[in-house]
Amino acid sequence: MADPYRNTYHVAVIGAGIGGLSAAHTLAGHGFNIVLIDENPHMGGQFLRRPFRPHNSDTGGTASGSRSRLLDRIHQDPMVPAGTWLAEAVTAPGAGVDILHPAQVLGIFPDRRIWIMASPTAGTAAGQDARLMEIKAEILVLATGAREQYLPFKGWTLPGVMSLGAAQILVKSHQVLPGACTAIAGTSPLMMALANDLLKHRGHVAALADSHSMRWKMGQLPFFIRHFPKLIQGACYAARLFRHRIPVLHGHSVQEAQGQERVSGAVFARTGPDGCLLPGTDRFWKVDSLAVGHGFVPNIELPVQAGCRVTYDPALGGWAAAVTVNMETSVNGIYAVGETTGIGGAEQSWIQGKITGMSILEQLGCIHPLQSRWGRFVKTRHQLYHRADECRSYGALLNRVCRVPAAAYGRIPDDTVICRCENITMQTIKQAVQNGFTSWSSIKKATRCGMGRCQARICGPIIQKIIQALTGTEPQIIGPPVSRGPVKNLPVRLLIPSAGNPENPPGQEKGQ
Amino acid sequence: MTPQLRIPSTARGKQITITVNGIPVTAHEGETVHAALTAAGIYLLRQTLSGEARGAFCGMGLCYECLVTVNHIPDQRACMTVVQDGMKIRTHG
Repeated sequence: MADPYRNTYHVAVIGAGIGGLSAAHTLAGHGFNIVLIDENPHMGGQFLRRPFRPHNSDTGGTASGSRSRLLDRIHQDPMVPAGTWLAEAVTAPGAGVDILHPAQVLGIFPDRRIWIMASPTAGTAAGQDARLMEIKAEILVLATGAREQYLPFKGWTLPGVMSLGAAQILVKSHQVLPGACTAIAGTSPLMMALANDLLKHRGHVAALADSHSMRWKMGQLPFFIRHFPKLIQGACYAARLFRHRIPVLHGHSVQEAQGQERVSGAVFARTGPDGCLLPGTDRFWKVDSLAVGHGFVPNIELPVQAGCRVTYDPALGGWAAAVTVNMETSVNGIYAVGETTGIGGAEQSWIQGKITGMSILEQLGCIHPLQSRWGRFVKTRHQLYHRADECRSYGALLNRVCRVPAAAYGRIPDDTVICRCENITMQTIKQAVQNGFTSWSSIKKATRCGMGRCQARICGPIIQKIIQALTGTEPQIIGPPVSRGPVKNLPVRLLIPSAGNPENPPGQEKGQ
Repeated sequence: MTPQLRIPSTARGKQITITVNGIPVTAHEGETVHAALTAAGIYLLRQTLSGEARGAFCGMGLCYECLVTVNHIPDQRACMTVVQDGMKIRTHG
C-alpha cells in the first residue's frame, strides 16, 4: 500500500498546540521536511479551542448582542487571534509542513524512531482501519502540553463530574453546554474563564466555589501588577459573574457530588486554613454537571519514555522536562517546548517554539531570516529569552495561585476513589503508605494504583501529594511517574499482524 | 425530556444521524462523540467491573473514562472520536 506520508523527516514535531505550531512555523520554508503530529481531532491544542466551521456556512455570531461582543473583544486574550493565525499559517497547503492527525504517538525509540498509530479515514487514531507506522526524524520536538490536576472528593467519579477543560472544550469547540445547570469548583483561573464562557452562551451557572479565601487572593494581587493584562482579563470575568448574580463562594471546596447514575447535586463546604473542610458549613446546590480543576501539570510521559531528564519544581507545576536555554533536553536531538518544560501559558509556548525553531535551524546549518541581518539576530534572541523569562514568572505565579494546601491531600475521606481506573480508595493508599510504600514505584506495586488505562495521568500527581502530606517525603524521593512505551493504549490486533492488519505490520516497515 | 444543551444560533456542521444503543440521535459534522452524547443528555458511558457509573472526565483523551463501542470496535475514546454519518455507538461497554 502506498504510504501517504514519508518515513523519514528532518524534524518531527509532536503536539500541534501553540508550542508545536510555533516551532513548525519557524522551521517551515527552509527546505526541510517537517512533520507535525497530533492526536486530537482538531488542531490547535488545548488553548486554541476554535469552533468547527463548515466550509459552506458563514461565521455565525454568538447568541449575545453586539455590546457584549465588543466587551469580549476587548478582554480577549491576544494569544487567541495570534494562535489562530499561526494554525492557519502552518496548515496552509504551501507551508511545507506535513500534518499527521489524528495520530497517536506511542513511543520514541533509539535513533529517534517514532511509533505512531493512525487511521486514515476514521476521525480517531484508534479507529477501524488503525495501523502502526514508524517515522524516523533527525530532530524531535516534544510539545506534549499540560493536563489538569484534581483534589479528589466523594462522588468525583459520577458521570456529569468533569474537568474544567472538558467543559470548556464542549462549550468552545462544540457549542454544547456541559449541563443545564453547572457548578464550578477548584482553584484554577480556568474556573472564571469557564463561567464566563457559559454565561456568554446563556448557560446556567449554579455557583462558583474557589478553595482560596478572598483574603488570600487579595494578598496575591500585588504580584499580578507585573502581568497587568491578566489582571484586566480577570476583572472582566469577575464583572460578568457579578452582572449575572452568580454566587461566588470564596474559601469553599466541594465536599461531595451526589447522585446515582449521574450527578444530581453538589455540596460545598468552607475550607479551613490547612485545607480541612469545616463541619456545619456545607451548602447544597442542585446541579446536573460539575466542573472541577486544581491547576495544571506538564505531560511528561513521552519525554520520560524517551529518556529525557525531568526535574521537580512546584513553580513549574510539578515534574517537567529539563531543558537548556535553547530548549534542548538531556537527550541529543530531542527538544521540548511549551508546557512540557513547565506551566507558563500560551505566550510562553509561542516564544519557546520560536527559540526552538531557531536553535534547530542553527543545528541543521541553516540561517533564519532574522539571523541574516547582521546584529539583529542576537538582539532578537535576547528579546525572546527575556520574554520567555517573563512568561515563566507568570507561570510560577499561576502555579502558586492554583496550589491546594498540601495538608488537604492527607484529609481526603477514606472511601474516596483515588485511582479511577483501578478503583483504589484513599483507605488502601493510606494503608500502603503506613506500611512503608512511600515511593511511586513501590506504592504502584503494592496497590495497583496508576496501573490502569490512564497510566497514572490522573492519579499520579494526586498520589504523590498524598504521600507527601502523610509522610513528608520529598517528591524527588517519591520519584517521577514511570513511563514506558507504548505510552498510550493500542489495540492488540495492531501488534499481531495475522489478526487482520496485514498491510503494515510493525517491525517490517522499510525506511525510505 | 432532556434540556436543549446545543447553544442556539451558531453555525454548525451538516446535521447527521448516529445511533446510540440502537436509538437514532442527531449530531453535527465536526463534533466529537462526547459532544454529541452530551447534547443528547447521555452522560453514563461505561460501568466499572463493580458496576459503578462513569462518564467523560478529562475531555482531552487522557483519562480513558469515556470509552464506548464505535462501529463494533470496543474501547474507543468518545472525546477523541469525531462523529460520522450512520456511526453506531454502544455505551455501557
